Amino acid sequence: MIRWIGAVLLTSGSAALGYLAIKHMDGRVRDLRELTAGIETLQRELGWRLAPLPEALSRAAESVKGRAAQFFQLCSSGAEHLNGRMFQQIWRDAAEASQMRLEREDMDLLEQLGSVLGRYDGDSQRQALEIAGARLESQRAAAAAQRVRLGRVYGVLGLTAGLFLVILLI
Amino acid sequence: MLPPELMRGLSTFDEDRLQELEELRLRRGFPMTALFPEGEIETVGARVTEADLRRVVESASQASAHTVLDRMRRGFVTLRGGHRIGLCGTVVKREGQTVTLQYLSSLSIRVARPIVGQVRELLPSLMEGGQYLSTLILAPPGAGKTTLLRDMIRGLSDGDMGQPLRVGVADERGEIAALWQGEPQLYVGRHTDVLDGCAKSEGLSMLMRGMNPQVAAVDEITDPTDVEAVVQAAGCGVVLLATAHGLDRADLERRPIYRELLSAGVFRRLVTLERRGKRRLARTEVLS
Repeated sequence: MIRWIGAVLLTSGSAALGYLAIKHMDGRVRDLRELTAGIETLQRELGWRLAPLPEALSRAAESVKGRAAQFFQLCSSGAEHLNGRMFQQIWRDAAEASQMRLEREDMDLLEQLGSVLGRYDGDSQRQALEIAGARLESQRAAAAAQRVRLGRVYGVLGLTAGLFLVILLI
Repeated sequence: MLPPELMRGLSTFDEDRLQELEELRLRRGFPMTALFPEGEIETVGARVTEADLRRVVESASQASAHTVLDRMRRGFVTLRGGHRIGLCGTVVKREGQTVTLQYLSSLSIRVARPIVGQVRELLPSLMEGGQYLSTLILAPPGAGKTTLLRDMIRGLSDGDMGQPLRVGVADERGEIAALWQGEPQLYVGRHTDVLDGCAKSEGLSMLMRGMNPQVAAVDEITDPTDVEAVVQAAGCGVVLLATAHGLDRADLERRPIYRELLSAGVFRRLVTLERRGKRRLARTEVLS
């Protein structure tokens, strides 16, 4: 009996690992999509309206959902009350605190953008946002393709790896 | 707005002493100094670095350089609360125009402290037959010209001595009303319209066209285009209020641009300010 319970736990644990990998991929695609949409809003607000950064970030937060919204909101509050800190640090801290499901290469792109925001004229910031937005969009497209390609594999692999271990151990 | 290591330098002053603080001076390579009525006092703490200066400017602009670039090019940034940061450093020019300041070398943070009601005893001397006369306020830098002008605008706008008047302010340097996202940070009266960020000549003409003021006010007449703008506005029949750097009437008459202003007969009253310790004394002189 205990052996069967162990087998079920092992199989379901392994399947859960596969499911978590799929969920992370879904989350990354979603976060990248929302992030790109927020960056488009920022582009309009900073490039054309020349809105102050806290206001532009707050509008970006309103225009998107989920963790990206939280990211922009954290940046907005931070920019409003810098208290002698640099915005680049606020941006970096917010990216971590919002727990967006991003990979290293996504974070590097965000980091580059954070070093430009709030420091240059509207046109330069708009260009930087445009480039970052395009790159994040291509990361999103690649992540979505990866999800399609590997999603089923991870699901099946999780389940079969569990079953394989059960067979081996029993 | 100050980085924590510079804030610590202010902690040696108590609350009452800080009420007298006029400016903070941050010069790269030296400790920060605090300007009080009796002079500059060095604060305890670390030497100011370029990164400190950048952090102050970034905090002051809420990380929105694009919203303050125009003013930075003219050497200052206005803050929420009406305070002002003067900037010094290496000017970058492109096609003869100042683009930005590349390396900051020093900052002067001027603390705004509005004084309301000071002008009441002065107003009768600026009137004739129940009407206000165009007035020029004259004093050296730091003597309180803008503070007095602001209170004068408020007094006329709120009707301290009669009917409230519509006052239009061309606040080129943003020091009079210190607009922050459209809202005056320093009280300038209930019937006052403020236009900031554009040259006096342009500002005065926009106000005349759009707001139909009874009184027009500008800060610091410094060059011939300012004189031309003021003379033109006077021709529209408004009462003018303005300030200029100088000691007294004789000092004005020595300088060609002010000589021109005086000979145009625009201003009929001259208010000179003198600072004696913590007190500011105002004296009215009849020009014509």
